[in-house]
Amino acid sequence: MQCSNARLLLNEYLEKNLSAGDVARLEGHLGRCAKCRKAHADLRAVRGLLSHLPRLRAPEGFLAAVGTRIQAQEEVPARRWRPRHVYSAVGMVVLLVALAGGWRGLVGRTPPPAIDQAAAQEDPQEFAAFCVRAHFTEASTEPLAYDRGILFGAPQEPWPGAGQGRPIQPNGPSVSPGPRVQMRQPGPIPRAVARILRGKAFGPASRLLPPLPRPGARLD
Amino acid sequence: MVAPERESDTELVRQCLGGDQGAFDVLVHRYRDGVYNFASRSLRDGWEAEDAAQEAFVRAYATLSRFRGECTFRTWLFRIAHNLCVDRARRARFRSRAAPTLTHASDEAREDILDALPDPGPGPEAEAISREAAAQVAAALAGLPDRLRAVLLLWEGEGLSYQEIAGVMGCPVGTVKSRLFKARMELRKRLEPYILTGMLDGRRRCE
Repeated sequence: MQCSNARLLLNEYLEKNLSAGDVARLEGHLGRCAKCRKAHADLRAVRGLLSHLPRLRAPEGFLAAVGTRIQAQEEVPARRWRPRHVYSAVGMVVLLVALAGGWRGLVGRTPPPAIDQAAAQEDPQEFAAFCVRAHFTEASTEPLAYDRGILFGAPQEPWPGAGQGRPIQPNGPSVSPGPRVQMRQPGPIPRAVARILRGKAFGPASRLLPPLPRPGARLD
Repeated sequence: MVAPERESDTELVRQCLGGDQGAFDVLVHRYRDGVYNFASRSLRDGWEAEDAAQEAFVRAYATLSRFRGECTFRTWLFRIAHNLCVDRARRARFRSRAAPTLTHASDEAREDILDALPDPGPGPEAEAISREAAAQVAAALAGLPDRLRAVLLLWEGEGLSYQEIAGVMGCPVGTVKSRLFKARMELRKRLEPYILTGMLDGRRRCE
């Protein structure tokens, strides 16, 4: 018999619950194994030690206290019934509002305002907005060499202050400043910003639109 | 107040599910001492033990409809009590990481532990047993790991079978036997200084 098996039988040996065959085999092992003999003596000692522990009795009023707590717990669901439904109602309202917003985004989205070319010819800010808009709506990534003459037909005098700075041409030779107005290339604009500029950022309908071209892609 | 205790647990559970509150009172009356004793030995705080024992019955009542009779009601009840005691002991350990044990405590801390232990109560046997010796054994028992202490308490204190303890602990019967052996050896090791001095030599209650 292995020591591990013998030790598992020691508990039942102490309780006298072993069969006669197991008792004979265990006692034979105990006669040969000093470690298991000591374990057996230790277990007997512990049984004696545990006998020092009196069995504790529940205090007076235990049954009544349990009854009171059970009664209190049974009242809890009735108190919680109303708030739970209030929360459900609030959640339903929020869901309806969200769905309504999505529906408006799907079918009721107003188109972006038309470009006022006349204003763009006169106002530098309108012109800049026009260029940015043209850049993204046409998905052009070419350096913005727009000027009002190209965009609007007849050459126009640049607005006051235009062309005074050095034109920015990061990837090519510098262009001598002249009457041609050089615009700063917008550079990489975050995709989310681009979608907002295109008026396609919000609402479920924006997911149906084709994705924006990757920056740097050339259009055919 | 309490009906005669001749009905089986299964019959009382059936009556309780039928709306008979008195049937559950009988069950509480039948197992209150066992559950309270188990909780008191598992938790050092007397008030906490009483609260845990009461909560075990409250939870048993609240979830009685889920009791399907796959084990005995006693096993099911002690499983609830065991889980509650483990949770509360874990929380107590977080609250006081450095709780002094009796074996390694200073004299002052030792006196505190002895004062905090529940009084065994009157009775010829309790009066005969040294309170000091009982406190030492109780403190050593409380210092055991939860899984070892629970097995030892259920076996020695409540007289549950291996199968019932396995149902309470949610482990195989072989594991119960192994843990019972380890628990006894660990308790022996923790009380060895007192055994060697002969302080704990006394008579056995169960003989």
